[in-house]
Amino acid sequence: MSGGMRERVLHVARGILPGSVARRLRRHGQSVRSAPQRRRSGDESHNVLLVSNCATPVYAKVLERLCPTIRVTAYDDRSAMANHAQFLKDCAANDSLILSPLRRDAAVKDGIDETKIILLPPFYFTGYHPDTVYLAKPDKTSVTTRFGAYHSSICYLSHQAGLGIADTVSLYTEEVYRELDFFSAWQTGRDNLLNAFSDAGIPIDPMFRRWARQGCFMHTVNHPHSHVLGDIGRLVAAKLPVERRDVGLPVTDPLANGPSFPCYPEIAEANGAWGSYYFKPAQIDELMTLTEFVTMCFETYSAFPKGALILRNWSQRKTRAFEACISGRFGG
Amino acid sequence: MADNPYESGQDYQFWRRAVSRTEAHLVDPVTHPKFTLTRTDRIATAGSCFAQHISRRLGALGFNYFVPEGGEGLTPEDRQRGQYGVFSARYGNLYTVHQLNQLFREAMHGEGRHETAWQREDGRFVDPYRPTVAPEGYASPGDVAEARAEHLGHVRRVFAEADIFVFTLGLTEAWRSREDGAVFPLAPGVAGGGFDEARHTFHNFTIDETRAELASFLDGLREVNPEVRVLLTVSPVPLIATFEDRHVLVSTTYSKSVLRVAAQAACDASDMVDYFPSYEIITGSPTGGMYFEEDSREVNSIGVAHAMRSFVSAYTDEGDGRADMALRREESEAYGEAASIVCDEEEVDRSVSS
Repeated sequence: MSGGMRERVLHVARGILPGSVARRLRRHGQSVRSAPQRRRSGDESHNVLLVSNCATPVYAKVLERLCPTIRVTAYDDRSAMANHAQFLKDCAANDSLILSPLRRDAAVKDGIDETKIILLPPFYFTGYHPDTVYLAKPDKTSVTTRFGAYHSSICYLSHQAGLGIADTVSLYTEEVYRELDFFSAWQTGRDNLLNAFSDAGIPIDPMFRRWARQGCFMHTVNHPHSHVLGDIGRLVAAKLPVERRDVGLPVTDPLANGPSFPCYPEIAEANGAWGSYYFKPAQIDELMTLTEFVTMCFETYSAFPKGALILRNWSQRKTRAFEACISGRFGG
Repeated sequence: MADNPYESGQDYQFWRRAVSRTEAHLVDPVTHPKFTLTRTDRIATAGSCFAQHISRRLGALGFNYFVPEGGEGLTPEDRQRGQYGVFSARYGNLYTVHQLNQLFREAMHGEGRHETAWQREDGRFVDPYRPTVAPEGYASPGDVAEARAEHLGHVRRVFAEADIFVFTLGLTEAWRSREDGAVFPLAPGVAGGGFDEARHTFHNFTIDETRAELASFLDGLREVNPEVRVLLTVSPVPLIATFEDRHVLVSTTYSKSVLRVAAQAACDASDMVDYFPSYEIITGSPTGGMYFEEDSREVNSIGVAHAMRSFVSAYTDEGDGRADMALRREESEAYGEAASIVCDEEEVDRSVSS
């Protein structure tokens, strides 16, 4: 058989061969993707390994609800990193693998069959929360508060500049947000998010516009509301070679129990949403005012020498813009 | 094969590109603004309820909101109570084009009115052409006339000195005097006076009447202020009630349609007149009602903010605050690292329990 003919046969085979034949061919060195097989209820379960971030439980629930014949093994990235051997074992044992790009790379590097991997990028969108940053200690571990690893850049930079609490609170204004490019975060954040999902083969563009019409759909920069995860879970489910049912019931939102940063009113208004300055700490149903939030953060930052912490997802250009903002403002 | 005439069209001409692929709050229907505003241009406002939103935002955004009748010397409370600054002068809501033009003719040409004062149930008197701007009313018809004379002096300045005149067309239904055709903002008897079928009548202006009246006003305005530029908008606020024997939603569509066509005709006829599509921004299907309050009538602040973002972007050279290419590149490069930061739920739990 000529090379061209072989390619044409394989091209056709990729679309029609059952998994067993495909596996046999693969053993003979041919790269063949097995045709999706729809299993009926009562058939043997289709085993799925799901490794994502803290959205994992919601994704798992959505997939199980939509696909009654699947059995999902789910844990988060941190667990996969902590026990790579078990992760590889699970990859080998499951029929479909739903993995983040980083986990996909780690799995493929260690010989896991790439054809059974469905990519699921982390959901990270700063449009509603352009002030949110992560802070790392010198040992690279996260600085945490009652809000986990999320921090306000304005709050942290104010503390580093030696400002008091009242002066810091006075900086949460449209003018300062403009200087820090917060109003452009929507556009850049949207493009990056949509590109990440398009690159993974699950375009979310139309649903992104629908989410935005309903107001702020993020608890924090990487904690979307559950209906967002539900929509994405539906796209992922469509990639599994199993029977699906059309279920539109709402999904519970465990991430709502986590920390919730407000979308500041000035930012919200520019993004067609409603905002506030009330912060909800993790695992407790209470709210902090902006002053209370800044006070709590200052107590945390004061435990570290000035300049000891490292801002992540932040640019030095913005730090300079912040310093220009406060220059001469407080008589210092 | 013949050329497809749409092939050379711009993105904004196609619904899929301009609307379907754009977040609702970023849809910007302004394409060819006819002029640019500076922060020193004197901007005057008049019109219906929605124009009040525009007035408020202009000042807050740092524009030179021109208010000859600003209530200097009054306390802030008295200014607010007396509706000073709501518009450039205290003419109250000018819902119809006919109301605007009759005010213009009265202020600039001394045209008189048959009815000059209405008495309220409390015995006080009000100005029939702005019955709600002075809540305390006036002691006598003479006092009403005196206040109106002073008011008209300010109105003359509005028409003669404004660099930009923003007028929001509100509706077509009106109550008129049978005696001289004067148009009232409210039906006689609502905020003063009394309805008399022999003297008052309802009228719903047609497109021909509205278009002609608007053209007449603009001609007159140019005579007294040749350099003035006019920005027309149509209020997205539905009618609160219709006197026509039909559903208020149907009457609203009629009114807004007439006003929208009249505004377009005026815009097409002059380089000095432009149409700003706040009506489309607020009521268009992309936003699907998200810019209305619970009553589906009043416009909420995020809707007004959208309209004003579009206004600033179109009519000033200050840009729209969107990211430039360098910023987008910087953010794009940082995205991968930020997105891959592992969720810190466990750390949250630790921090909370510690």
